[in-house]
Amino acid sequence: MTARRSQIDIVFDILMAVQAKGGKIKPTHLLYKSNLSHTRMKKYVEELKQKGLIAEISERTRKTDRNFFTISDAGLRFLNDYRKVKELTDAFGL
Amino acid sequence: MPTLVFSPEWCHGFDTLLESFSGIVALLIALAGYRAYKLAKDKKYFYFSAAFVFITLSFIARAFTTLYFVFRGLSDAPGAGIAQSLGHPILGDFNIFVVGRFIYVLLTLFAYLILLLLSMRPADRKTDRRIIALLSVFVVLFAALSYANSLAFYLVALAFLIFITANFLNNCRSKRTTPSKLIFFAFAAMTFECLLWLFANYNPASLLVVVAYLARAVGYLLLLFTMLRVYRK
Repeated sequence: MTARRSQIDIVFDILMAVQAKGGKIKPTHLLYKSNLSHTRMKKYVEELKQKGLIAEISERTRKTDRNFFTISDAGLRFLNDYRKVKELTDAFGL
Repeated sequence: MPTLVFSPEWCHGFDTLLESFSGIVALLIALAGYRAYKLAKDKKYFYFSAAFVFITLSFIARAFTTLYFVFRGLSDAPGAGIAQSLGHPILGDFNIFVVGRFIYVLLTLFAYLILLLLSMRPADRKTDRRIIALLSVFVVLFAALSYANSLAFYLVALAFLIFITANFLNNCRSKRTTPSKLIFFAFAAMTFECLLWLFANYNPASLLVVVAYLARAVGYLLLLFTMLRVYRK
């Protein structure tokens, strides 16, 4: 059994999911990728929006308006920093 | 005939240089650990950072004590223990040696104790606080008695390092990443260094001292290389 993800791991997974989709992801895709319930994902997304790590944008398609989440520069910086921290702490088995 | 410094006279300068280098590497890891703590707000990163701060401070204490005696020209002062009981002028210097050695041993052993607890598997990490308290008491006792004989310190440090290295080996087997392998080899080199000091304790002028210093240099170079590898990406 794998260990429970910490809050920071979940934030990292959400931001990774957005980055992996080229910096822009649909809410439903984020829901699958982040492996969270809808309620918990909403809570995390709100927190990330408040901290300026992601932003919600609306794009007009042929028929309807579609919402997307995009990763900000601060979000990319956080991802880069956390990836390094994780690599080092993993090396020490923390 | 007891000597007042930690290492043989002929390697003074080189040992201080190596201690400064090791201290800087330990400080860099402590800063990285603190950065991890600020980012993740997880206490284990704070303790990890504290362990490396202790190692840095222990090297500073050791280097200052050695330098003090080298500059005072007392590195081979005979009969320091007897001088203490007779109230000889060397008494103040002897106390500096005792305090320097106490700080060095205490901080090193506490750092190893923290690293040992952190390097355990998450399931085993919740060790009973009474056992941690008992181990801490032993660490203080060994540190207090270490001025008389270095052997006890090297034995305890070796025991800690063997367990830490074994935990890093398990981690390296499960993660299979280059940094985890480098950390394992770094701590294996430090364990080897400690083992060599055990034997060099009986013959401080032997080649074992040089090999021990080289082993430590290899250990800290590997730690520095791991840091650079991770942070230069």
